[in-house]
Amino acid sequence: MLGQNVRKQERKPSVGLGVAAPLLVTLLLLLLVLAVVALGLGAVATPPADVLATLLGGGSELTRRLVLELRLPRVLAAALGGAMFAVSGTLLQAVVRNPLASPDIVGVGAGAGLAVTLLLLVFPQAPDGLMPWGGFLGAWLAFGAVTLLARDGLRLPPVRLALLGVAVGAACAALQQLILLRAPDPIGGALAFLSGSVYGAGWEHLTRMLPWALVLLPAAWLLHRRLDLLTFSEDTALALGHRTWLGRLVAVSTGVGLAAAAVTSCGVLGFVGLVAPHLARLLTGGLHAAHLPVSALLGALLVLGADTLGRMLLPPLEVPAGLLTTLIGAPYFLYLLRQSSRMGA
Amino acid sequence: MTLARVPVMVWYAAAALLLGVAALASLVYGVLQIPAAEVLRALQHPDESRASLAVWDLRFPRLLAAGLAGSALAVSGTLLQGVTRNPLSDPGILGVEAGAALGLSAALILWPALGLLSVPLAFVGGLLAAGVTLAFASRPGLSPLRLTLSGVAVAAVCRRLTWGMQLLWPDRAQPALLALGGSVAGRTWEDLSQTWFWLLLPLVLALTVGSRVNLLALGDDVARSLGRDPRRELLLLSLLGVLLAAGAVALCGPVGYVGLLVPHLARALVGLDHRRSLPLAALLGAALVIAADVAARLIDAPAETPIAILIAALGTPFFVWLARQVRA
Repeated sequence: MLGQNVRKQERKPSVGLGVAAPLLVTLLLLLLVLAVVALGLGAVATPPADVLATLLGGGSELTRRLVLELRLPRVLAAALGGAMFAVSGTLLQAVVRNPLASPDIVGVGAGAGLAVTLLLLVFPQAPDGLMPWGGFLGAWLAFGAVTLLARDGLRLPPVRLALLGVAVGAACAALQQLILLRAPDPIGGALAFLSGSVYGAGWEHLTRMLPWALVLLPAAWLLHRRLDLLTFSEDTALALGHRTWLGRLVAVSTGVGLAAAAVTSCGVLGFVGLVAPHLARLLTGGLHAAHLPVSALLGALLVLGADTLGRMLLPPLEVPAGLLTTLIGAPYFLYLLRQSSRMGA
Repeated sequence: MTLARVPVMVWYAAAALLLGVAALASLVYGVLQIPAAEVLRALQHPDESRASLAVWDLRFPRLLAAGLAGSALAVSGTLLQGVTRNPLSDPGILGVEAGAALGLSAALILWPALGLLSVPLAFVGGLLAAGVTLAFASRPGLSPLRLTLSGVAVAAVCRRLTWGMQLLWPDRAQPALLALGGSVAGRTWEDLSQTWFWLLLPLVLALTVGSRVNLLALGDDVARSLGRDPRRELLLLSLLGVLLAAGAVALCGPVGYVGLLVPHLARALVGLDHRRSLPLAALLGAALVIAADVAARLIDAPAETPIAILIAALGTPFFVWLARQVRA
């Protein structure tokens, strides 16, 4: 019965995880190929065969240093960060039932960025592992403010949510800019990545978000049935015996945590959390069992692709990944907006 | 509204007084505090004294820049809100400021020799941004919410491109970064000499178009029945609004919310007639930005806070309030 309902809502038939397996394998292979290309790219180019050999334990001292110590953390940070933003966007879109929700649009990215900036300035000695926690707190505060302000009685009008997310996000960004202007130089430089780049990401950047990814990505997948329920109307979910507020709280916290941890390593990668879930929905339909992993892989591909392209465009200059994802994502957002107006939202 | 019953002249006088006080304060306060009497003397008889140099070479051009940019943004916002019949229209929200900033930094980075032509390029950038925003938002009708969200996306692209250009040519980006900081700190007579013309002419022009904005604000049908082509009017008046915003950006970088805040205030005071609200918005906009600039100097002296951030502190709550009024 559930399946029928979903099928009525979606234009494309929804698929479960089993049916999506070939898609997942294809995306994974694409990601691996892209990663090998990215690992070989740089001032000293490394042929793919050497990259593979190095990854498997061989290779010369120099290639080992280049590939494993300099390029691998960056590639992993890009892929992981992209996946986390994408899954965060998937969760938020399901919970607020809003195609325009994404971590950067509902203020989560900016809130996390502001909190991380504050944390680094006020407690420069704080252990690295504390950063995602600070970001999590800031992101939740920003998201809470946005939802409280956008609320209309019990309803949460989608477009108003996006509107107020923009306002709160802009305010957080302005505050952050003010703080960065005043910051002593080394810290200001250390925070440059917050504007959306994996340039110079080392192992320490990666380890900041890795524990969060290891816990929250599987957690998000475990939530897939609840997410399916949440996308129904409030009444349907209640009739199916589902306590919506608890499910929502858990799902939102997971989404906010993923975005906040990703911000501490890659900064705000514009529009990834919006575009990847949408593309995934086009490919898999609405059921989250398949939607979540496909979205994660697409997000990883998008950011790694943007970063790799950014390194290839104008060497030795690096075009930040966040710039390219925005250039792709913003027009798509405009297109969505146009569609939503046609549907009368 | 009871406020509207107060004679219009009273509000003009009050706004002019406010502007005068803000202007005097902006000449008096700073790293070197100069007594008001000394300022007035230096204004009448410039000489080689420290006070005179500070007033004439540093503070006066800065005061004029703040005043001109403030007037331009406020008038631009009044025009855009009037012709789009949309309470959330303003050059910042429509993406015009970000587009103008992109055009300007392209000019400063790619063709540093352009100088005077940088304002037209800012205008082109602002115009393109506004065009894209309106194109995506304008079906069916200009819903305030969709307009804002399209503006946000367009502004995000423009800002990222500006940022990318600054990253790619870091050695040439310094003047662009200074010009686009959302601040009037360090504006000189030279900066003014390159931009005043682009601001003053459209400002004067804008003060004469009040009745045309009134017609459009009444709706396309009324405009048409009175023999005007509403599309052409909309285009001309929007062009004027974009030109004003681009000039303001060329002078002090993007300063959001002035064009949102001031027109609402002006309308609350003198009512919906744009023949009355446009001049009042010009006075209040100048006073607001000049006052913000004084505050920017004093808050954390001797460091300077960008006025854009101070005005955002006022503007954000107001925007939130407005957005909550709009029916979703």
